[in-house]
Amino acid sequence: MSESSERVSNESLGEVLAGDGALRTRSLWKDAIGRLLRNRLSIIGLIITVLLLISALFGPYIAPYSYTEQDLLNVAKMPSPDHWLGTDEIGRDLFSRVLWGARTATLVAIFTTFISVIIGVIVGAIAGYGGALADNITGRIIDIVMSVPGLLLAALIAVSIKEPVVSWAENVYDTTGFPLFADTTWLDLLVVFGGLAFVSWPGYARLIRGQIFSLREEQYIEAAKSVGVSELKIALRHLLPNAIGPVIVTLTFSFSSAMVLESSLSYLGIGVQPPQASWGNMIASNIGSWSYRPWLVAVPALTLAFVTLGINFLGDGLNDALNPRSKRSI
Amino acid sequence: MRQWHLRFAISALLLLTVVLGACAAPAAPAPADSGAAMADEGEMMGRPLPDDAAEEQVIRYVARGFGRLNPAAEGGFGRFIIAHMFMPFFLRDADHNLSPWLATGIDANDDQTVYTIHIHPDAVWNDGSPVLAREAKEYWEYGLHPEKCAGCYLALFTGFDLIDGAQAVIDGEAEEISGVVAVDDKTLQVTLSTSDPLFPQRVALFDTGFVKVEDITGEGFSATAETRVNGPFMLQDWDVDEQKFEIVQNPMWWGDKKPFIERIIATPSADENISFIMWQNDEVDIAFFLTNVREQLEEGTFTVIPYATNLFYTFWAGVEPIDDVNVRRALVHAVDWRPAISAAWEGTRDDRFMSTLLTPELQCYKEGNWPDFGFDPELARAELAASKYGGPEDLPMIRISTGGQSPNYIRTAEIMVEQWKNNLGITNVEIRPGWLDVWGQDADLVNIRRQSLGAILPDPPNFLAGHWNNYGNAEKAGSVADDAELADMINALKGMSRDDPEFCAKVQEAEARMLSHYPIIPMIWDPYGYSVKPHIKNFGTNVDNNWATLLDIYVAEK
Repeated sequence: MSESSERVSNESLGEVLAGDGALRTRSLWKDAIGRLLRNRLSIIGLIITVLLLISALFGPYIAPYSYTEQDLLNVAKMPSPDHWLGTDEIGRDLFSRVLWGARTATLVAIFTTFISVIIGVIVGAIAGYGGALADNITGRIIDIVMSVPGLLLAALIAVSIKEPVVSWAENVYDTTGFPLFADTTWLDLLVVFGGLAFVSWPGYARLIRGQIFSLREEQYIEAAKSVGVSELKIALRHLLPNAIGPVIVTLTFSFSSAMVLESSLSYLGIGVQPPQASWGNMIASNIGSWSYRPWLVAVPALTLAFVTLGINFLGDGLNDALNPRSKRSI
Repeated sequence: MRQWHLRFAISALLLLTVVLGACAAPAAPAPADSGAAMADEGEMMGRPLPDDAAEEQVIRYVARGFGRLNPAAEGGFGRFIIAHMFMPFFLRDADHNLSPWLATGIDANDDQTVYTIHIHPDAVWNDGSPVLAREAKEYWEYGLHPEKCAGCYLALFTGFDLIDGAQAVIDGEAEEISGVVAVDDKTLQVTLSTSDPLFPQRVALFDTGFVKVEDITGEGFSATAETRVNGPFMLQDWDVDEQKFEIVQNPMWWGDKKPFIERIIATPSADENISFIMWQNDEVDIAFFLTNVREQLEEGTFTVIPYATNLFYTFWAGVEPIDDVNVRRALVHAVDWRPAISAAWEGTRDDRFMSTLLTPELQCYKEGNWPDFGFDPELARAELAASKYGGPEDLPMIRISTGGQSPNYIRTAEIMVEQWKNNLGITNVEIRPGWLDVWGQDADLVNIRRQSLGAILPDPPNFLAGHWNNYGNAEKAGSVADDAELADMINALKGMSRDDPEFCAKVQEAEARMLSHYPIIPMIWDPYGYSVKPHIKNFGTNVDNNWATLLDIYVAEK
């Protein structure tokens, strides 16, 4: 093997020779993080996302009031030291409800995105690496699933599938006393947003399939094949890790889309039901008074917009960091 | 050149002949089935428009939704127009005064047990056939029969059970109402089982207008463009599936006064906020039910329907745990209602808190005529403990349907749920904003339902009868009590003179007795209303939600 081909091979393994002749490791991920942290908008997005996650995780401990606690003598109050963002029309603390709404939005977004990614990656890998027949079959399945409108599906699930599932859970609780089913609110969310996740995965599947088609022509895959590495090992060790960058980028955008979708469904009365706090149902509840109590609509709406924007900034930053060539080409 | 002159002269002569012929020839008679097509082509036959009228006389109307259009089944949003398609005998104005409508007059015998109604001699259906007295009788027999007209309101709203033989039809035991006789083609005689001074008001209700029974097709009949009408307007489209609702003039309208309005385009909108946005964007001329945003409307655009409606949550006592009166009592006593309603309605209805059933607009109204009503958490806890469920732990789930997406209803539900939690320890409660359909297969398990009931016949006994029909009917799942004595009290009130010095005391006694069963969770008495843009002139409504002045309404230039 010549010296030049040796160096190329080392680079592909993430190693370069430093000026002093020592071998210094430079991983793809370290590079990406470096690029991410040099991007100001990404940092803003990262901060917003971290704040969101903290709110979601610790919101109930940070919130000064319960999301249902009402003070009927102090309704629709402007922001004050007691109520930082004011109170809603039935005297609930708006700041506390925004924090609880963050938990709802994040839970739904994580849940929906997680299921979508898992299904999408598996189907995409099968399509990309399973041969022409597998590609054809999965391609048709993807076409069918992509033709299902998400909002309509959620409405359909809400009125058809959700009830039997919830009734079943209640029966289980009645007969067994199993505490998990004492409160079925989470089951509502699981069914509606789980259903949404089942129509959201084709994007990931197509992405992974495309990546695999492109990566499997790479020299290092050829090399792995030539030394007898098994197909499964190639897929798991080489193809998926190299294809995952674009998936992470898409995932962040999907995450913010899922939050908007949750708010939309709750606004329409299909998603999170009152008195649970959701930014969507907070907007719906106050939209009629936007002209004279604008803060009641503005607080949840701006929070949603702010968080969505932040996550999208982070997604853009990740895109630039993980696919630096794509930015240059633009 | 001369040839050209000749040709020109002949052409001019021919043209002149055609023009003069078109102007002088009488209009061709309309084919019997061509009404919709004529209206479509803009061949209107309305009377001369006022000077400030717009060129296009079209009203764009939005309401919460439109159901089946059938007078006997009409309980909601077709009311604005139905009396102008299927005419009742009389039409009420805002002050409940009657004007002749399909009938020219009504005579009563001395003891007001026999009424004779005279149908207008010119009245015809839009196919040109005469409107006959027997057609009213046939339709009422259809509308009152529980199997022929399932889910209809004719018996509930009209008080027609007072007609001789009507109760047997209402019970499904007879086909014919013996007390209604078509004396001739244009005369209908109605014999009552008891004296009733209100009968002329009853035959002014929108439910009593009639469809030709041969046009009634199948169960759940709803009028279509093919259904014959006898009023000044007819359907072009009334399609719930397609969500198309258009009404046009009836070219065969026989009345002396022709309408100005050529067409009404109705749009359903389940969400009041969306209706309000349509209103703000000038996409509609008239909106129904912008009650909750009334304070934001431009001054002078809200026309109140001149009667108040009870807005409340009904305890659906056929479903556990609401079947137990102690649970119902506990749920009512555990909530501090006045501040709750004030908050839920943003302080705009503080003086309209529903402290009893009769509204302040009705005769015999007595504020707070509800035994033991009031916020008392200790009493509530004792009542819950005394129920067969023994306390909150074993209480089956309470499901609340808010009956629409109105934030006011949702807030009321949220407040009561929170106070039940704090004061009774009840946590097994679920709220769903919307109508029963949002519950899917669990709709039958919903045990607290938001409802409303208005006094369309502004009369206390009829109003109480309407309520009791909801709660005291043992065949209905919502029934709270089998109180035959109360039913007798209400029936006795119907035949009483409204001027009897004992009348109001007896009304209040019946009202208090009904409320002692704790059939409802109170909200407010609220007058509904139409929001009408200033360019819609002469708009007026009556207690039926009917556009009572429709023949005089016109669209002015903006």
